Amino acid sequence: MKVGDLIVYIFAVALIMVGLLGMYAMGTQGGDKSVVVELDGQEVYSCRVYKGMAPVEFRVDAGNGQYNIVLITYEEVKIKEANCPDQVCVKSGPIRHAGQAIVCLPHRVVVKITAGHEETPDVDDIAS
Amino acid sequence: MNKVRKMVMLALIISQALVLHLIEGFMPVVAPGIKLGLANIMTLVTLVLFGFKEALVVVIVRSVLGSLLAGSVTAMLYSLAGGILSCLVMGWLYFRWRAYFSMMGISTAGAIFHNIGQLLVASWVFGTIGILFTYLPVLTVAAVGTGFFVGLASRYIIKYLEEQKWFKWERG
Repeated sequence: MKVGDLIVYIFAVALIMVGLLGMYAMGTQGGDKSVVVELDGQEVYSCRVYKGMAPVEFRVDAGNGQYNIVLITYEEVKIKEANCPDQVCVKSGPIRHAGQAIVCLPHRVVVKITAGHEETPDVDDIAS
Repeated sequence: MNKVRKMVMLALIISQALVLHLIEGFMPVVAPGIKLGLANIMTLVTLVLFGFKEALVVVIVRSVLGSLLAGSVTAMLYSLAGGILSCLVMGWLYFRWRAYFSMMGISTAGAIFHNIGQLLVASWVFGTIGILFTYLPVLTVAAVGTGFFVGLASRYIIKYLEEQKWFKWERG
């Protein structure tokens, strides 16, 4: 192994740290979480996640009979079923923390957990 | 160097890269975004044996044709962004700092920047930088592994080709 290779590996470790720190930073912005479903970059559904909520099942219609069924519970969010060719979104499993996202490239669908709930401000936000 | 022979050699390399690109598409997906990067072998070989401009041509033609044969416009965008960025980095490392790097190091750096390019485009397409952070750790770990073997493979190919009499004459 040469000197440059070592630099490459150090750079790789640094990148992994940056990624993990970034995920952590995005996950600790406030306590409340909400789930946003986007199709083609446009928000099609969003909901707040709170303790004791009833599980929500949302069906994303990406046109041409393409669909993804998103299952949202307090503990986790996952894509339960989809008819995309690669099934990556189903296989990638559930996400739990803010900043995480499930992406279905063939259907151009993103399901992400965001910190807070800026999209639907409630009375408390105005009062404070 | 004979222009026609060079063109034929590049065409052969591009078709090999294209086949590797397509074969990779048949492989089962371990985790989203993780690929072996086999086509990168041909990029590296071109970079060393022909030069930077030629490698860039191989990457661009391979990405465009590969996405046309199996993929979509978005896939082409990812493939191009990753491929060009990785080619720029590998070219810079090889022609500037060759003495300090082994093939494996250069190829690993290329694999890492391939991921960064793709993730930047993905962040741009989906409008959230979160994708970059979420996928970076996993993809970087994979890049270190696949980059090593891609580098090893291209080292042996380059060594073999350089030993061939017809190829020596070819390089002229």
